[in-house]
Amino acid sequence: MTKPLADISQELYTGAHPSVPNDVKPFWHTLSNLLVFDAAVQAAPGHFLFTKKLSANAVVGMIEAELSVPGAAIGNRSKYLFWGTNSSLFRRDGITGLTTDVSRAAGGAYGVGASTEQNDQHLAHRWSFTQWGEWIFATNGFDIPQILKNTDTPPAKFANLVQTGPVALPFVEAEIIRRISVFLVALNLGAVAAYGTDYYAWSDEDDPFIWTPTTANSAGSNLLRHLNSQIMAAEYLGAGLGIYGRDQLHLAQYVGPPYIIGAEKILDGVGAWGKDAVCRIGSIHYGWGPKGIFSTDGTQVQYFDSPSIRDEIEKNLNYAQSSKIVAMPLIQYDAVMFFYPRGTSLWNNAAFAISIPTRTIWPQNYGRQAMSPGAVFDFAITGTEDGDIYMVSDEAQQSVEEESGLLTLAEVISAEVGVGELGVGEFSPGGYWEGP
Amino acid sequence: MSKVFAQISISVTSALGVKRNLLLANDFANISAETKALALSGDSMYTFIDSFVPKIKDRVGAVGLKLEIWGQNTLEEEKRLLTTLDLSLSSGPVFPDKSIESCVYYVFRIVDEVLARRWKLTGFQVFGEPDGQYFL
Repeated sequence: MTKPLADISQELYTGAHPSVPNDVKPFWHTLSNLLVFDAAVQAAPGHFLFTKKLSANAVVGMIEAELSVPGAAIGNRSKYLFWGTNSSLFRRDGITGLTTDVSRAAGGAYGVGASTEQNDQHLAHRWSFTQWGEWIFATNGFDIPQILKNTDTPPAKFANLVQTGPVALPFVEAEIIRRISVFLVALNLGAVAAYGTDYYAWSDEDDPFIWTPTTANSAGSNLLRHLNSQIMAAEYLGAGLGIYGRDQLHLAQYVGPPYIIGAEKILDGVGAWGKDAVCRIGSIHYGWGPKGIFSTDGTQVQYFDSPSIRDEIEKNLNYAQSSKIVAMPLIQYDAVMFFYPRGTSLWNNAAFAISIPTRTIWPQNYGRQAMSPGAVFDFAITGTEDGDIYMVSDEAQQSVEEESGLLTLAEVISAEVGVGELGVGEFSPGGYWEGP
Repeated sequence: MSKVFAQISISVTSALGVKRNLLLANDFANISAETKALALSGDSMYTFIDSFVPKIKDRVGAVGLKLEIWGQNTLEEEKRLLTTLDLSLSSGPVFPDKSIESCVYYVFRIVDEVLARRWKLTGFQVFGEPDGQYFL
């Protein structure tokens, strides 16, 4: 007589442990494209194609923004998505859903001479964005920082950021751009005589067009002397900005005159692989750095440390392209996703999700090169190495392969009905009927 | 008596001219979950599996959702595929063929390459009985 040999339930939520010996392995040996949420193990959220691409180049940075609709009545606003490739910047129009190239009209293509690959001397070429009211700022560590004024006569495009005058910025390039209070902040200012990769600079108070410090303004710059590396990432932390090196976390915040934006080291032993390797859910940062995968609130750091992470993920990370790692919060699913280059891949071709409540690992078999967390749109948005833009959705299939273009108002939907011999029982309206 | 023949398809023709049938799954899922090697009757006893009872919500109609049962007699041995069962046909237990060999260790692998339905796994049970002692 058969009897119950196994009754498995709670064991399902322990995540994947491929490298742990069988006798101490919690339950799952391998997992692919699954996640635990809503008290069940189920397919990780899928993706649908969100917008048509105009370029087949990799998406290397993006931002969502709610902006006024140009030319419409005051108060009319819509959601926009901006993203960049190595040579261009694009916008998805909030009303029509159409994609427009909004690269600068003067100054040539972006990234001329730059490589999208990380090398011994430079991190991978990626865009960093921030919103300032109706303006969007973008910078890539190679070209002059860019500004798009949504209030310009449509179609608004990006242009080189210059100081009032016009006068050139005091620095040539910046890897990251952020805000602290009413100041625009540029970080990792390249290898220029007066600045460096461990510098940050801020604009005048509420004026992003004044950067050269004088006695009449509040603009300035600061060197993070104790960072021990270049500035790798910057993510908002409380009222300030958490600035990551490879092994340290500093907090920069408004401290009033005379220093304006001051920074202090707050944690050792935590760092970031690249500008997109840290994300934020509420007041907690989740990131991946040389010491491992961590969460921190700025006062203490916890590592997601397990043999499986060390043996399966970190041993297979392509460290030569580690600055392309992307961290993405999946707030609706209580998880954080990390995309990374695995093996010898030059682009992120693998991922894993960390379930926040269970602190377990859930591998995924696809990669993304950039993300926006769904701050304006309903769900997170990602970009691929082929220029495609996807939105996360649990209504869609996993890792959609799009063979046609995105549907727009110009699309044709047809219902084709072919009818052969039609009959129901011995009664055939319109078909062959043989009488009694 | 007349036969009933009718066919309906709903398709989308994009601006690029590519026609796509909306009634077909048009992408891949590659979902899989593989357990560790489970010694259902202890690590020195063969086990005969009579039934596998998945607790999977919305599995009926989830075309492509399958259970692979793999077996091995020692942890050093390479596991071998014993049988594949379709989990989409009913909501009850599935019964492996009685002729499959009994093994000491079993690995259960749930796979779905279609994701026709968004199923949810909350557990499973295995029913069977010990089937003799394993001797090296």
